[in-house]
Amino acid sequence: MSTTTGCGASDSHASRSCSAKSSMGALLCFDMNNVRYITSTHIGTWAQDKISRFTLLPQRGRADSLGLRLGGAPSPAATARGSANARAPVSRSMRGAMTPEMGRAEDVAKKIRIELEKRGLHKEPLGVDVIEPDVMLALQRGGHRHRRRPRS
Amino acid sequence: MSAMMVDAAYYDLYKAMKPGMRENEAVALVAETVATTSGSEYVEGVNAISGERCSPHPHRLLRSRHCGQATRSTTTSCIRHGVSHLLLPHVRDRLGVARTRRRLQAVPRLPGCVDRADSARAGSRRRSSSVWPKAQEFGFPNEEAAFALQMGHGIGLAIWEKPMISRLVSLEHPHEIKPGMVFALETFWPSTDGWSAARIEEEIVVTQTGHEVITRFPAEQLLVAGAPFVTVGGTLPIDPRDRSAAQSARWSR
Repeated sequence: MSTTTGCGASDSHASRSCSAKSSMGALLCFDMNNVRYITSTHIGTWAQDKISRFTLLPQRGRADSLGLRLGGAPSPAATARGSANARAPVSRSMRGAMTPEMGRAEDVAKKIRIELEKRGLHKEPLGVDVIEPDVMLALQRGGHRHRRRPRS
Repeated sequence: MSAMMVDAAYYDLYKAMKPGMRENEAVALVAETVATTSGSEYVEGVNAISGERCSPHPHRLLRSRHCGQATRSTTTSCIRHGVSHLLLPHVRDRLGVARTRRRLQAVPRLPGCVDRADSARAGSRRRSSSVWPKAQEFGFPNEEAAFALQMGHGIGLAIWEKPMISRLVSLEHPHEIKPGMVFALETFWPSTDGWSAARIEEEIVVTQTGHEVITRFPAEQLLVAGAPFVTVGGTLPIDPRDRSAAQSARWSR
């Protein structure tokens, strides 16, 4: 987080404060250390290098823990109870185990775009920490442009 | 080799599990066995789950709870040593027998899932994922919602590799099965209580004529923790009624 925004955020509150001052509409994070800073949620070493779970920190408001759930969907019972985990089915390329024609990168990009549109941020610059190239390309095909982080 | 290392960890875990054991103690034991005793270069994602199983998902990590109070504990582990491996030892106490019995109903479905899933043979381009149950058969609205609960994936130097075997993607984009491939086959089946479930992962290697299961720790039945009492005549039944019946049978001879 600190290298991305240069604000040295150390918890979710600080992350939100930084985000509000940023020129980015939202910050998309796949690095689980950043996810932990932003959401105060740690889901273990299982997810540490998968580049598959992510969170979206909008310029204002709370981070959305899209895809933070670990593997698979919640049980039907959890869904029925309206659990917070009953959202956002898993999307991932599984580090290349899913081939491009399976369309999982497009699925990730679509879900991210839906969340951005909900907040009116889909035309704003989107920051990312680390990202699989096919997901980045899918985001670009959906209208997002990327640029390198300006030197501080 | 890696599957053997985790089998050894499960053996040590089974010997150690008892009511009152905390999840973090179970995680520490498995991690230590695999890393220190077996020498794995990297131990990843050792999970212990007590309480509501599969809510939201089996992979919930490192909560400190008492296994005995929560009636059962399920421990899964992955190691980064070429192979990952998840199996399910369990412990139960008197408070948990009823719930555990409901889970027992789910367990017999899992070996069947594995058998169906690994029916693909080398050289086949058949859609092996098509033999797996549909999402609706085990309570999910679609294959995306059920993804990762019934799936197979290759294992190599990384624990996610091709081929991908899932009804979500493989029916339209199947991978060819080739000798030497190593799969993880992840299976899930819900229990009748609406929230608990059983989940077993096995690993297989594809051979020229079929396949071989390389994960050997028993997973086809729920295991009850506790030391077996081995006598010169065999293992003593844990249940006193069974012991009494066995004794009567011997004396009546």
